[in-house]
Amino acid sequence: MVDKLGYFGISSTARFIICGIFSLVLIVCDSHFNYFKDLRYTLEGWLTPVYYVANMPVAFGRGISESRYSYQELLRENNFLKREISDIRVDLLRYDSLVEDNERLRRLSNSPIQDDFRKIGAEVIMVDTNPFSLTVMINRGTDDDVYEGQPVVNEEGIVGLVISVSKSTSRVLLISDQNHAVPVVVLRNGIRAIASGTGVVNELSIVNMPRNVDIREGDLLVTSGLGGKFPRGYPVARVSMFDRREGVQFAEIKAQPTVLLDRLRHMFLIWVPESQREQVYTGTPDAGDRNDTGSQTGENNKPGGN
Amino acid sequence: MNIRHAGVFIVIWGSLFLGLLLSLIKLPAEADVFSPNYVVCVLLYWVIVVPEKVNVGIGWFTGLIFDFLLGATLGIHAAAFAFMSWIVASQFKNIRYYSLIQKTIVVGAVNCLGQFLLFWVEHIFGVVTVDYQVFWSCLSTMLLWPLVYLVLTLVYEAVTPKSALELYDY
Repeated sequence: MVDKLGYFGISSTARFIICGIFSLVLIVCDSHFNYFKDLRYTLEGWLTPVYYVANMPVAFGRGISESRYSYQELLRENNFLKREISDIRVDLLRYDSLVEDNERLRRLSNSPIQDDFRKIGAEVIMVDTNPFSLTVMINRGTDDDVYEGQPVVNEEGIVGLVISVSKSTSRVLLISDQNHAVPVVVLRNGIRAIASGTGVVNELSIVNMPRNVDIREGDLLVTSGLGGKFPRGYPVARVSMFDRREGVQFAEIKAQPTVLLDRLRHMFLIWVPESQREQVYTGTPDAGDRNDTGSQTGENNKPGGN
Repeated sequence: MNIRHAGVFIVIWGSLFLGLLLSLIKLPAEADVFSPNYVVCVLLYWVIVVPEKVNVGIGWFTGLIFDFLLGATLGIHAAAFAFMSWIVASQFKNIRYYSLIQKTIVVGAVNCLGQFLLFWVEHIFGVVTVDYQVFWSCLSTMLLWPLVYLVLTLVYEAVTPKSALELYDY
């Protein structure tokens, strides 16, 4: 049979070879040299409506389930929230004086004073369907001064890191992604560690810890601020499993992020002061370059982990 | 390009775009592992039915758009989609005359191979763990395909006069 597939007179096999070569060139250019940053920026600006449309069924379903709340349920929830607010307010009563105390002590010991960070709320507009990466898209972009490598938190702890920004949207790499790692300390005793993502949405693993390390199940891990990406003291995860099996070099430690990463909806972007950012940016790999940094062996090359 | 070709053109690109859009939708966490790969269903339908219009090139281009939409490394899905179209176009030249069940099996197998290729390329250029749950989505893609086939055949026949269909049957 005559090969009728030739559109420009070439067979599909020849075409596949050409496409394969094109793909390889694109993959290498994108993952190792990051050539398409500007193109992505422009295109994602245009494609923003597409993301909103793609998220419509989810938003619609949520709207339906919310509209089915009965008056009683709303009343109960309202009461609960009021009680919780007053609880938090009581806790906050001493916050101002504590901050002042802290400032005075820091001045005594000549330590730099920590300012409050500027923050802005953001909402998830789309969750990535790519099985290889855990990212979400949020509704803030360069219009709101979002920058690459910006930390993202919510009321329960660290969510992740902004890896690419376009005009009105940006992508956030979640802390449990394979290519992500956060420097943490154990709140109980100040042991430093690195919590790296496993690719499973609600699991982190604490790597390279000796088997006799003093970490227990239930320990809270907070950011140490060493990487310079995340400010110090935000909760990251709780240790859920500690296995000091014989015959292996390191303990196997798993932790569960304090944030429910598969049920994300609202979050906050925080602005680390320019001066602190500058210190750590020199000589470190780009945060947006996740494939480049991820393919190297050291944990320290991962974004957030350097 | 006359009216008939314009209609076919719109149907092909419209369905591919719809497939891309559906693929972006995230189902609730429990159902998500079973979510089928709509855009592969649509692409392979066109490669089977009109291989002289849609094959490796358009497959590659669709994959490239998918990469952009997902924010993935450019070229990964493009390579996988081109690979799937190439297998169907070059290895199953008479697939148009197969029964629906046979076609479905071929589509399921080819999609599975495509997922392996995706894993492999991702593994070479980045860090990735093999999440075997992805193969549930291969199964659901295979189960969805006959439905896509029926719907798209109805649409395609609506825009193509009978005489034109017979022209393709050599």
